[in-house]
Amino acid sequence: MSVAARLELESLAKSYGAVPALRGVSLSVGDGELVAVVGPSGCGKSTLLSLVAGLEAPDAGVVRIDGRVVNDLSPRERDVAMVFQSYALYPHMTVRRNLAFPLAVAGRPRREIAARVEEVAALLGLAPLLDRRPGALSGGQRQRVALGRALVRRPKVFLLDEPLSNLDAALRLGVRAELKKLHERLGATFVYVTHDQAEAMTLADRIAVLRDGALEQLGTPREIYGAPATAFVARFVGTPPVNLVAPEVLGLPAGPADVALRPEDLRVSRDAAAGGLEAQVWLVEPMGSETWVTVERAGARLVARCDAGFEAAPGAPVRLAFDPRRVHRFDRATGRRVETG
Amino acid sequence: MSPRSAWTIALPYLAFFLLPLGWLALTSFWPDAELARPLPSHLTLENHAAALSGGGLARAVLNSLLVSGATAALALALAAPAAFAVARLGVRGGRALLGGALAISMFPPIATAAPLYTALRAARLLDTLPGLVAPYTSFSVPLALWLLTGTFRALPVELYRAARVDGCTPLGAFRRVLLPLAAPGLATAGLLVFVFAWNELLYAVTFLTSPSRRTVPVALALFGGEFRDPFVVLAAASTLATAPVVAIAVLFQRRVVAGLTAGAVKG
Repeated sequence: MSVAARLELESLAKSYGAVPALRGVSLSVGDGELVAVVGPSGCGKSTLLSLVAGLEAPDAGVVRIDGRVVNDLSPRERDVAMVFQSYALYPHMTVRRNLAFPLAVAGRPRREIAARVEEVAALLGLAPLLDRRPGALSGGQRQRVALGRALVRRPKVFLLDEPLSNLDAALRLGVRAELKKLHERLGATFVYVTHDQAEAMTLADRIAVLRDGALEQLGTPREIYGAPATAFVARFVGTPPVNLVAPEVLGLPAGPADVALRPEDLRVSRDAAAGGLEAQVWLVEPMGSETWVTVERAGARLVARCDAGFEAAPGAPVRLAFDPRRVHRFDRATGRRVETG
Repeated sequence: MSPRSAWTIALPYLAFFLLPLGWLALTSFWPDAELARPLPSHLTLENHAAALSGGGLARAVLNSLLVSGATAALALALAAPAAFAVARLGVRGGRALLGGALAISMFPPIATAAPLYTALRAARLLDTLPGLVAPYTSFSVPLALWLLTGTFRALPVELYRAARVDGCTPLGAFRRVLLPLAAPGLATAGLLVFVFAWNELLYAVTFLTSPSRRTVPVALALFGGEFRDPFVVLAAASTLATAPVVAIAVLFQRRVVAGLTAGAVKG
């Protein structure tokens, strides 16, 4: 029901006073693609959305939608819709009027507005709630209304600013799955901002990792996880986080690069005869389907994902093993990935 | 706090303000001849009839309604967009504007009476009701601006941003989304301005000369000279003159409903 569009950002920069929020970010989002923009808070991801929506003007750079420069266009002329973290529903209007609002502002005929509101309400299961006010809705229902208000316009680009962060954990997984199905069905262009790397991994066609206002890496979830461009990206994605240590800790020759090993690539054995590196158990965290084991070696701590049945007391001696081909190397000074032959 | 303990505090407080008013109202129904007695033998409407006779008081109430209503409407119309701009549009010098407005409102009215008199005479507004509305508005806009800036700042900023993305111009977002949500603040500011204009005596007595243009405070102040023994009649006049303000306050109070923004954003 949407016309997908191509969104291009070119060297976008924005400062608030002396504080740079974005320093030259270039990014292109293809037709119907869902790009997740992730990064820790303050990395500039919300600023990026404001600039695309036209709520703020960039200090430098270009925003293009379907090849057309929209820098000087107001939000209404850009044909983008946005879902806000707080939902930002209009509390003095019923759900029906909230959904109709963008169309009413655009001066669409009454009959068309009614038809489209019904259509979106049916799609999102909001039909029984149409005459309620936002105050009488649950968090999940409000979230769907906010989504509906964006959908009803059939915009070229959807911008979502942390749309799941106000939902409780149980609801979040369900809505996340719904969002993914919705994106598949609409085939619309989505820019999805989140600080939650798991959301980005599961939803996105491609992920843009932002750090301090600059693009750290842009790639598919598989690339981001499997071949992180920097130590920062390696640490940011993956739960539990990657083990980033000096090479000596893993028994590798010292050098100018730190090494990183995913917890699933580190094998812990209680059998002293197994060979490998010696270490002591520091913490055991059973997760149900698996157990996270933190071990200490050479003054560093390493996390490994082990079988659910793994049991050991803190201080117990263990042996560590790993496939050297699974080790990532990052230059200690620049943090950039070092490819090994 | 339990409702009971809340009332033990509220009752004496309310009594402090309401008893004199009740006594004034009771006096207005007191027969003139029985004023020396501890309680009247019957209640009468003669005093009210006497107060209204000649039409001076009714005329004054009408004048006050016009002046106070126009002042409140004008002050809100000027202050609301300004407050929105200061609170949401990041207007350069917004703080200075608020500070300047506060400074102006601190000005003692007596110091401005003479210059305003000259200005109104030059504008041919002396002894007219609009000639009163203009200075009243200029003195009440700062108050309204302060109150409403707070009101607009308290509205979630994402509502404004959502309205912009949904296609509103800044003014459209103000009119369609922020203004309806500011209704409690608008009612409060409007009521305060209305009461200020209703009570104002200095300018009214200085700028108005025709008896037909007198406002309520002027009419009450000059009441004594026109009647033999005006005590109960003056009480009736005061009661009649207060009634419209009480009615309007009650009317507006219904609109001052808090919690209208519940459900806009999380929480």
